[in-house]
Amino acid sequence: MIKYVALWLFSVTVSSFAQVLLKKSANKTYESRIREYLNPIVVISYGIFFASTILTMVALRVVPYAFSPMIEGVSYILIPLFGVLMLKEKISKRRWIGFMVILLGCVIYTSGLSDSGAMKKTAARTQTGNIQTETET
Amino acid sequence: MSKRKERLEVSLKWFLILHLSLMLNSLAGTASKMAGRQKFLSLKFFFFYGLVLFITFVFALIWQQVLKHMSLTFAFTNKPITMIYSLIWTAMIWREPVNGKMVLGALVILAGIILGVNGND
Repeated sequence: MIKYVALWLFSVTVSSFAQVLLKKSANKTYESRIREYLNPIVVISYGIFFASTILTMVALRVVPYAFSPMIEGVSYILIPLFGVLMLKEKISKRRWIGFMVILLGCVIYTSGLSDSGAMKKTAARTQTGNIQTETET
Repeated sequence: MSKRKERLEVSLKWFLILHLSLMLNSLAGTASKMAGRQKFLSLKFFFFYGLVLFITFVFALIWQQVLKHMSLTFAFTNKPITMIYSLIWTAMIWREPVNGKMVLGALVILAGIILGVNGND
């Protein structure tokens, strides 16, 4: 179980890194609108998102879907961290607190989902082979 | 209005576009859930899975433009609103039970968003 949670967290980390790449691309000036989308940085970013989706789906074979808000919520710490380190974005103290509050909300939400029996439902769905995916961009 | 513009790091137009795109993105989760409830590889399955891909594609197009107009951290401060929309769709479309902790979590997330969005000090 822990191995699959780690895999999911790795997926969230690479996905957050891909967001940084998208922003790096958005900061550049291109000669046409089509080049804004069809350039190596954006293509690599979406390649990473695709790989991340597969990793998440593998993790979901073991980890209940109800954990999703909490695990995906880690991105609300990673993105500002990457934003400061890689994009040199300035984040006010108030915005940092905002991200912490959001993460806290994700933990409470996850706790509510587990209380509602969503974990059992997800486990049952996984056993019957139905597909449950989440898009994260 | 001008006071609001000073507090937000983006224009109201791009702030609205950001939120409309996030609302659209939350619908991908609903379409995904619909796909999951269909018989695997059936016509309906392909329809809803196709809808997921279409919404994701449109969202990706808008997201790239959104990032041109604001910092990544500002855009991401707003992103968890999709969880609140998902909760609304869960209650309205799926009629699934929503308990107090889920509502509390959503309210805490909303408080975090408001704090972060106005945190351009």
